[in-house]
Order: sequence, then structure tokens, then C-alpha cells
Amino acid sequence: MTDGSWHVPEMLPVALALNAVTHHSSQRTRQSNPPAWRTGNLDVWADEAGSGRGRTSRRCSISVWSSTVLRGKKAERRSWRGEEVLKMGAFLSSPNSKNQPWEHGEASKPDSSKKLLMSVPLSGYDHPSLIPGLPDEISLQILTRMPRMGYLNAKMVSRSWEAAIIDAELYRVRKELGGKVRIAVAPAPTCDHEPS
Amino acid sequence: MAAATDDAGDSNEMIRVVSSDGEHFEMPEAAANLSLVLRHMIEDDCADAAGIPLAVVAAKPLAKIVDYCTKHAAKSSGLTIEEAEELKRFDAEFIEVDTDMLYDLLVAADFMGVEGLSKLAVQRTADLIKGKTPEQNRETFGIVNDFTPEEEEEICKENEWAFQITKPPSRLC
Repeated sequence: MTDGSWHVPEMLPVALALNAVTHHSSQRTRQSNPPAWRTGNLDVWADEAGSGRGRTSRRCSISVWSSTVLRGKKAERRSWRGEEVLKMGAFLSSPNSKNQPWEHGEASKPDSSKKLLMSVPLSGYDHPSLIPGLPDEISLQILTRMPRMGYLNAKMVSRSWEAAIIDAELYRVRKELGGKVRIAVAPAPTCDHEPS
Repeated sequence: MAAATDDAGDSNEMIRVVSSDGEHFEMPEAAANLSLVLRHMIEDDCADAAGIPLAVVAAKPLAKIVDYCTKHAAKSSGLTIEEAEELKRFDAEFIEVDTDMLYDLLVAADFMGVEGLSKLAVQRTADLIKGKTPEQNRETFGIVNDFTPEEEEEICKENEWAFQITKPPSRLC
């Protein structure tokens, strides 16, 4: 580790976890929060329970969970140990990094015994909007009004479209809209004459 | 540019609204009631002679929204089949606009809480997207393709199963 960069302290707890939690906000809070695929954060959690044994056990591990992964795999977990953790620490603190490592996200805490060390926006706040010039809430409504078959082509438009189409939020909104579709029923034709 | 009709609802009171660029419009109260924001303002006695200021809606989309609300308020209840058909035709013609106006209408209708117009504009945009190739959609909406060629290829492969049973897309796969 070089001077000035973030480093794993001597008393580093046994486990560090980089936790990518995608916060699926409820319909009620959706207006005020960014859409789900834009709120992914890399959160570094330290296991406080292990801090007492920090000196005896020098082994570090780091894990990444992601409930929504951009490439479509459902839930993913990766682990690293030792030097890889240190390398990652250096990367996260790199002044060239666009992300703000100390920015706290809205991710929920997975374990009360763990302490949030840092949070890094997964995709960054410079994530391009779905349709330039339109708020993402409206763009999402537009995508929900498309036939599902169109999603295959729409997925290829850009990364943000792909992420939106993979996201479960879209299907939840679709489902809600599904119940509200009104079906027009034409009046039964009247028969003026008796059948012969 | 007042859009008033005598047959618009049971109230003849005219509501004045002011666009973000300072243009004044008038519409019957029944038409204004189609907008959630205007309805709440009217209920709270905020509709005075000076007009209700709409800070984020420019004159051009506001003129269209006033037209839409006036037409729909006039035909709000007891529609015959012919009238419903006519309203449908009006909607179809009304929403035949360019992309810029469509964006303005989407944002303005969302801001003003005009549910019918919101749905109409959203559906129109969804119709513009469907049946187009990714490249056509990027052109229509000014979206930058930020995929690497490898990523694009990978998504193509993921989609292959679907295109085996339907017609193949015109590009890439």
C-alpha cells in the first residue's frame, strides 16, 4: 500500500465485506429515490464481533453480494482474501476514481453486528438516463407499456436500458398496471327480426 | 389563446393559468379539474384573476394541454359510442407530434397530474419504441450506444433462442 491511500488498518476485523445491495424501494418512496438499478452501492462492512481477535487472525476476506447484477445473473457472491483485499482498498481510495467511497447509500444493513465502513455507488451518479431529456420515472412507465417481446431488442439499446429491463421493478410495475387495464365490451348486437 | 366552450361541464367559470414563459390561457373549470394540481389549487381558492402560475410548463405544451382538457371535459359523462369514437380519433390526432413536443407533453402532464394525457403520451412513446431495431431507437431518442462489441454480441447470443422461433431482427443477430 502506498502512503495517502486507504489501507486496511492493523486492527482490521476478521471479515470485511463489500456488499452490493440494490435497494428496491417501495412504490410509495419511488418518487423521491433514484430507480432501483441506479442505487446499487458497494458497501464495506466490518465484522465487529471479530475485532477482538484481529491480531491473532490476520486473515482478511472480502465478499460482494449483489441482488441485481447487471449481466442478469440473479444473486452473486464473490470472495477475496489477503492481498486482493488490500488491492481493492487501494482501488477504492484512488483519487482517479469517479466514485465517492465515503458517500453513504440507502442500502439496508444486512447484519446488525457489522459496521458500515464505506459505501461506493455501483454505477455512479453519472449513469446515463434511460431516455435523455426525460425523467427516469417516466421512461420506466414507457417501458412498462411495451409488449414484452420488444424487450429483447430494447435490451440492446444501451446499458441503462438493459439494466432497467432486467430489473424486477419493471415487472412489478407491469403487474400493478395489468390489473388496471380496462377492457372495452361492445354491446351485444340486437336482433330485429326473428330467425327464419 | 383561450380555449373555451359553452358545453364544457356544468360550471361556466373560467380558470386562468400562466405558462413558465408568461403566456396566459383560459379554460373552463371542468377542464381544469382534469388536472390534479389545478383541481387542488381551485379547491384551495388559489385560482384568481392573475392566473395559476405553472412554473415548469411552457406555452406550447400548455396550449395543447388546455385543448386536451377542454375537449375531454366537454365529453366527460354519458358518452355514446359515436362520441367515444370521436374522442378516440381526437386523441390519435392530438398525439401525432414530434419527439420534442412528446417529451414536453410527458413532463407537463406528469407535473400537472393529467392522468389521461399522461397515459396517452406514455403509450405513444412505447409505440414508437416497439418494433424498432436498437439502432433505430437510439436514433429516435438520442441514446448513445455504450456497449462494447463483445457485450453486444453476448446479448445477441442470449436473445438467439427467441429469434429462432420468430423472424430474425434486421441487424446483428
